[in-house]
Amino acid sequence: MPADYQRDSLVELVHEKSVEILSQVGFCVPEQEALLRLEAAGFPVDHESQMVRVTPELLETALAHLPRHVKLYDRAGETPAPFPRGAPRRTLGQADPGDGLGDAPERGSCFMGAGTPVKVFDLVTGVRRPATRQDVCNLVTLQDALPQVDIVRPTVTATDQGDCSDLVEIAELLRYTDKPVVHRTLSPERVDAAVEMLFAVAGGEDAFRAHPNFATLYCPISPGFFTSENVRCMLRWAQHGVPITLLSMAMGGASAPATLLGELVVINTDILAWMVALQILYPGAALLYGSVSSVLDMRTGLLPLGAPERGMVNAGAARMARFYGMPSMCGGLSSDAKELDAQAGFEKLITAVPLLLEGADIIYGVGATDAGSTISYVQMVLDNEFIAGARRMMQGISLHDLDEEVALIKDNTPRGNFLKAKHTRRTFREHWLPGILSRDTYETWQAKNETIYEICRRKAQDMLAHHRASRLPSGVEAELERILRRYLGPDFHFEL
Amino acid sequence: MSKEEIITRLAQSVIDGEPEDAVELAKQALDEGLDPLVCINQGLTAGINRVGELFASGEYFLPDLIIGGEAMKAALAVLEPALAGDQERQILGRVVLGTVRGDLHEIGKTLVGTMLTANGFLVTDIGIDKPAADFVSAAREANATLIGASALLTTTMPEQQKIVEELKEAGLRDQVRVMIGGAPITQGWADKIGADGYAEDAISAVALAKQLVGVPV
Repeated sequence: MPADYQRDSLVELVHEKSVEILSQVGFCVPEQEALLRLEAAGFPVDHESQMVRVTPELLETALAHLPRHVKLYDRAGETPAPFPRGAPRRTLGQADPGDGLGDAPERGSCFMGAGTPVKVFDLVTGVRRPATRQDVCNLVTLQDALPQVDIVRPTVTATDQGDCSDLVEIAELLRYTDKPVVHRTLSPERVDAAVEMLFAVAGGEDAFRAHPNFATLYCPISPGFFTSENVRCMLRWAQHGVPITLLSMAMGGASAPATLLGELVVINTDILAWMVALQILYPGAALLYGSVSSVLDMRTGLLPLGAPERGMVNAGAARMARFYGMPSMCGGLSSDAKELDAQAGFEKLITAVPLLLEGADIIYGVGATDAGSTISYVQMVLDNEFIAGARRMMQGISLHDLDEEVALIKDNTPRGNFLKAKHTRRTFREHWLPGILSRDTYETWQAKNETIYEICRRKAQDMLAHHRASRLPSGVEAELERILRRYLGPDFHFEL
Repeated sequence: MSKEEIITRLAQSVIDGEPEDAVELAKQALDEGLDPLVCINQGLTAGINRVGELFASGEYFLPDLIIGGEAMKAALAVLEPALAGDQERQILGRVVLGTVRGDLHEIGKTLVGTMLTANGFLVTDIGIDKPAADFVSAAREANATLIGASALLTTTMPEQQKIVEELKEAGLRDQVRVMIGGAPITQGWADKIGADGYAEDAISAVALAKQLVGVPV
């Protein structure tokens, strides 16, 4: 295959194959009520196999309904996270010659906390242990304090909160950060309670719908299947106008073909299926295109998240998202390392860079270690540093008038000293200076006697001691408490 | 084809991961009057052992192992029914394997099943979304000494505990060992619910199963 074939036609090729699969085989909806609704809306349904097919007409209608700009705002509903800044909607079927990896995108990527595993590395002892509600509050506070984190997740599951921990996590997200937040419920019955909390914080349904500060996410079991609970959750969120991320978690070589292009077809097909279903049932529903996919490690059968292929395939997903005009949420800044080491540094960056170059809207991975199975406070602080450096890299060399520089060079040739020039003093601040990584001489570094791990831990402890996001009005907090008590019992209360 | 050649090619079909060839050769072996137990031991088992060696030496990877296991299973399905009444394939143990209730994740569990089969265990895979009672009744029916229970979701982990409890209630806890696995599972959880062991991947699951049935690893 010629190299430029892939470069120019990847999105058209993948789209075409997804349409073929959806029209011939379809996707499974293991949920009777949803099946009936889809059938009534015109989808060809086979009740015995619970398979739903997508016709070209349904696809066309859905694409016409798909909203052009989906934004997530801060809690006050004032500032949107820095994605879709008026990017032109691509016309389907038309190749864009500037669509290749390596073309600097015009907009930057948001970074979002990872999650939500059940384990955390304790900040004080470093020991891996089950995560608690206190960890949720602390990790949300840390993400709120870290300037490079744009969108906040609970990042861990509060394992001390029982079955309804999802609601507690959403409440603590809303209390401990005013940045946009992303989470989900595990049961459709609890969606209504979550929505009640969101509306209470936003000041009503209309205010929320106009400027949502929350998006949810649900994963298919690839290929072609969402659980009944997840289907019911998605329909319930859509009914309330809450943005939904269709988040593929394909495993190349296990739940998808082993080739990245084949895996991308599975990712795209799973997302396209429910994009169409939700747009037909809820025209204009706000949707995000998500992929936290990777490839199976064929020695162990584990799913490595620090693999170069993770960044590659999810960058492909980001490109597909742009083709449909949907914001993308992509797994990257990931690692399989168990501690802050060389492996963590390599993997974090090699899985983030393809997404940055592709212009993924949201990069999903801050704070994650050990294949996403454990969250680390110290890694979260170091990730903030990595993101800052990576964002500097993405600025590239900006083109501007060179008159001043050329005059300066002429004046200083030969053997001049630019350190004395006012131009230097005025412009050097665009250089990135690390806050954690050491550029000291060996002797200074030795005298400081503090490892990167210790620096990150100190900074995390310092932020947790001094940072607290602006509080919700007390009436709103009381309202959240009242909602939660219905599910968690009359003794439930917030810590101060 | 000579009898020796059929047996050699049976082994090779497992090494090459060719289930269709394995089935054809197994049928041919029976047509030619070969002893099915000899075909299993000198053909299939020799083949899967070679696959295991190639995997251990880094030449083979999981897909080679899985398809080799599939070839072996396919040929066993032909040969085992033909065993004489007093013949029995030598097995390390009988395992009931499944994914717990509320959990639809299949790939990891099936991978463990193939690895156990390839290593000489007789595996009864009861599938996904199975309540504790199904594990216990399947273990009773299969006269199993091991149960393997997979849970990939934090919400379905407690179902593993129910299996241990229901085994006790059924009076089978002394005969049946329980091994658990899945992404959120830890040794701490295994200890807490009183399971006999936890394996973090399919390879260590085989080592654990051997340990639990008292076979040198």
